[in-house]
Amino acid sequence: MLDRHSSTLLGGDEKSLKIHDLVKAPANTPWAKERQQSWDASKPATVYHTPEMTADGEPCTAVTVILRTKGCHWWWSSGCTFCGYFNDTRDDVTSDDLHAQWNEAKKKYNDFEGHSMVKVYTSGSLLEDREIPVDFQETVLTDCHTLGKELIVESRTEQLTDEKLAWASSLNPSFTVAIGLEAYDDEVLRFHVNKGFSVASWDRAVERLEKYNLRIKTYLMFKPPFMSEADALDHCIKWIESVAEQSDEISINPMNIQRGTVIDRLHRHQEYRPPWLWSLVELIQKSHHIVHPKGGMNGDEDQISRLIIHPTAGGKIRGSHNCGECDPEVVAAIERYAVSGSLDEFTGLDCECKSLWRKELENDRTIPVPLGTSRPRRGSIIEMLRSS
Amino acid sequence: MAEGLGRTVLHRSRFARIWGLGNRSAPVAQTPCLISASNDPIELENIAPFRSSQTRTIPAKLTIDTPHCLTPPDFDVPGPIFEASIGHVLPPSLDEANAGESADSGSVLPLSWQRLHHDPSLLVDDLKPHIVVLVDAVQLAAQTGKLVQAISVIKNRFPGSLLWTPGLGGPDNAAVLAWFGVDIFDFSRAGFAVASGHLLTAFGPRAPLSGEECSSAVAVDHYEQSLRSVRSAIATGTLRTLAEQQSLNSPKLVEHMRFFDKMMKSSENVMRIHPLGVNRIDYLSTTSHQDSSVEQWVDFISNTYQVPENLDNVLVLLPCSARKPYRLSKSHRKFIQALGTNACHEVMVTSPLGLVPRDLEDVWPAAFYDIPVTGDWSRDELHRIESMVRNLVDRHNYDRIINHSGMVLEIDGFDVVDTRQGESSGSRTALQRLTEAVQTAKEELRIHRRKGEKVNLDRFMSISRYLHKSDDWLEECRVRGKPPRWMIERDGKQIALWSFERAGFSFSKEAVKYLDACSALPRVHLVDDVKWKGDLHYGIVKSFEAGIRMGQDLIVMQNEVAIGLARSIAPGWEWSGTPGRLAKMHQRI
Repeated sequence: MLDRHSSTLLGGDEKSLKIHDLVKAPANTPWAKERQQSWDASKPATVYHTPEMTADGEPCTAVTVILRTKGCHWWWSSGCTFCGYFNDTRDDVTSDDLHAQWNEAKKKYNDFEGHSMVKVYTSGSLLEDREIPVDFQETVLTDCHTLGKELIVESRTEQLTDEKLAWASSLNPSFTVAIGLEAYDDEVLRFHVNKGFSVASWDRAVERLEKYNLRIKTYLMFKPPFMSEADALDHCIKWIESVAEQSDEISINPMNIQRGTVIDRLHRHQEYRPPWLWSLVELIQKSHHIVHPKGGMNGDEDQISRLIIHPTAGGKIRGSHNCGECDPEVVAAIERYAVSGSLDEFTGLDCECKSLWRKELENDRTIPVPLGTSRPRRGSIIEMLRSS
Repeated sequence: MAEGLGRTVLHRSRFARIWGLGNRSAPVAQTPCLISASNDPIELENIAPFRSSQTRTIPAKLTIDTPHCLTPPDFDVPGPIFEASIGHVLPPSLDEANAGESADSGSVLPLSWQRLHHDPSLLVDDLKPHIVVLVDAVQLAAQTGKLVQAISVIKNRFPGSLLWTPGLGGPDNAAVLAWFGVDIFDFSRAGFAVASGHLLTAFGPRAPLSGEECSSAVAVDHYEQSLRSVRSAIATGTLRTLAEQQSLNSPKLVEHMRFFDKMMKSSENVMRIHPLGVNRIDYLSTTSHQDSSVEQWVDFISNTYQVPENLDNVLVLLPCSARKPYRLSKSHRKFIQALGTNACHEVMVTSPLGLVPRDLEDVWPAAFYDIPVTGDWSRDELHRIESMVRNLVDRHNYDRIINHSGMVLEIDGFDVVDTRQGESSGSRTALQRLTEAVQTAKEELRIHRRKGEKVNLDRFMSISRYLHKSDDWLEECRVRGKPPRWMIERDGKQIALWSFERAGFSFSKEAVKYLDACSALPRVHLVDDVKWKGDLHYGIVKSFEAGIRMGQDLIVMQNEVAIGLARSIAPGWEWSGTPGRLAKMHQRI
């Protein structure tokens, strides 16, 4: 049975791949290439508006402009395990294209009139010169400042140098930089996320942002790949605790399945279940005291940071979900909390599936199952209980 | 920290074993057994010989300990306690990638599909874990064929280890997983069922009946009952049947069973060659027809079997009988009487073994199988038998085929004589036609009756070719005595005795040199300077030849000289590391 001529028990002698090789593979498939070439480079990927809160805690609306770009330079060389942005990029986008997209967004929303906030997302880092021409960076920073709009841009840590922040803040002195930290844990960043930067790198970036009085929004990933539900919950609470003091906002991104990603592959092989909505509720309930030590709500004096969760594809199989019965109600409560910051949003919320979720967490915590015990699909309880 | 886990195999059935834990003279617990975790019900903690816990770090560190005193040599303090980092684990579908950081290697060995593919340190000879934990068993079970492949590799590489597949076991699959070789079971799935208001039983999950309690205590009871049934089945050699029954609890279990059968098809080193404490093998379902004992028999008869010398003149196909060996049945006494000669080659047509030649009707499994008799043949059975008959005919020089089996057979180049003609095998007219057909063949082909001693010798040579792959040691031998205890002599000295119960030869010291000369038995080489006193165990075995089967006689070698015979207790897959006795001394020169 054993092949003693092989260098391992089950493998051959072929060279092992690294995680980033797996991450990259789908982007090079014909369907992905074809899809990339199908985009109109002069049109933004999408523009929409949502309810938001200003830095002062006032309710407002925000226009989100997702630009069609060349994507993220980290993706060009490696890439995060869960990232599906390669689906939305094309590699020949020019400064003229970006200006055309920006003008279209402004036109659609009448120079963002009536909206206090503008979020400009680029499937990468707005302040990264290799991704976004400097003249376009300048346009966005200047326009928003001139129009008096709160600006939120996204960035990795390595772009946030003194030089870049001095230049950017000279054009727009009060914008927010959202950093996809994903996890405040180097093991998770390296193995689970393949982030390409460390916790120390985030610490340094945050220090510099504070120096220039720029606001900081921190994204944390809930349930990265290769992790059990219980690990996701228990560790995410720790990460919130670690970043709360430095972050004006903490946005938790519950994993959702994007086409062509490693997560998609795991999901198809029944090796990954997106998070339970109950886990998100528990996360909020156990983290609320971190962002509101006195039990207050958003806008109260005890607010250290604002905790936000918008479960993308919430209630659907490819997003955070419960049993299917209680999902709309639970998603709505989580969304409400993002605005109100009140734990009362969850009062009376219950369902029969909650005991299953709780038992799953208990199993994940007590037996050695690093990939968890989640059953990947919904179904009748008897089907779920049958042996796999 | 206490080191070492005292354990000895009490019963074995291929990859399934009952391990006695602790002092081997008085084990305190037996496997397949439960392992408890924190938050498990107290009823489980009371009966589980192992406990597990883990840190909440990434990666986590696993601890397995026990409330019992299982550490040799004194067995006087609770222990052992084993710890290991679980490492970073990539899911099985990403098996082309290597996360680059393996789990710890030690007394407890966490393994994953990815580690089996990428960690060369698992091939280091002195890696001898006490417990192997397949940490991605839940994910492997969801994918085609991977679970049984992983388990099989682990069993062969670490035969002395207990195996745990966390998150996968339950009372509804314990027999199936034990059949594959899993020894340790946790409560996670059973607890999950209770949390949903259901019970996980040996017959699958179900809602409690009206008035029936659905509690952890009841769930533990179901689990323990299921494990007791498994232990009983291992001890009595009926685990295959129990596993088949239980596999019907879910489609996935049936899939696992089929992949396992496919994988075991040619694995001689897990099989038995003699009954050895087992008095029958059941082939009650069509699934059981895929068992490796059947596959290997069919393969032997189809491709290797040689008809006794000069007996391939007239092939007489006969039906099988419920009683084994067949010749002791009433029907076969009638057939033998009707044949009136021993000059024909009698071959029984049966299912699922296909064909059983008269000269091999005494061996395992032909003399010990049990099947349901309906009189109907399935298409698969017909195909198998036809194919085997063609192979037999193609490889020999038969002049005539007389078919008294009742099965319609057409063989190219032969005008098959059908003596049944739709009648029962024992009907007077059918038997009369059998007599006449044989008489005609005798006259036309001038075949002659064999002497009694020649019949015996032909039979024993055929059996030897089946059991030992050689009959050279029987050259110049004579067969003496009375049935069933025939003595085999050479140069006036007894070299073997036919053992009816064992379905094999019992060799004398005198036989060793002949068996050695023709390599009739696998050789086991002892460490050069050890004094062999009794049982063979891993510590004194330097090397061994492949293909050792359970119950088989072995030539014991030391310094390249044959010094005796031993009788294997464990099949070959266990010889590279199972603690305890592997074989008993049988003859010491």
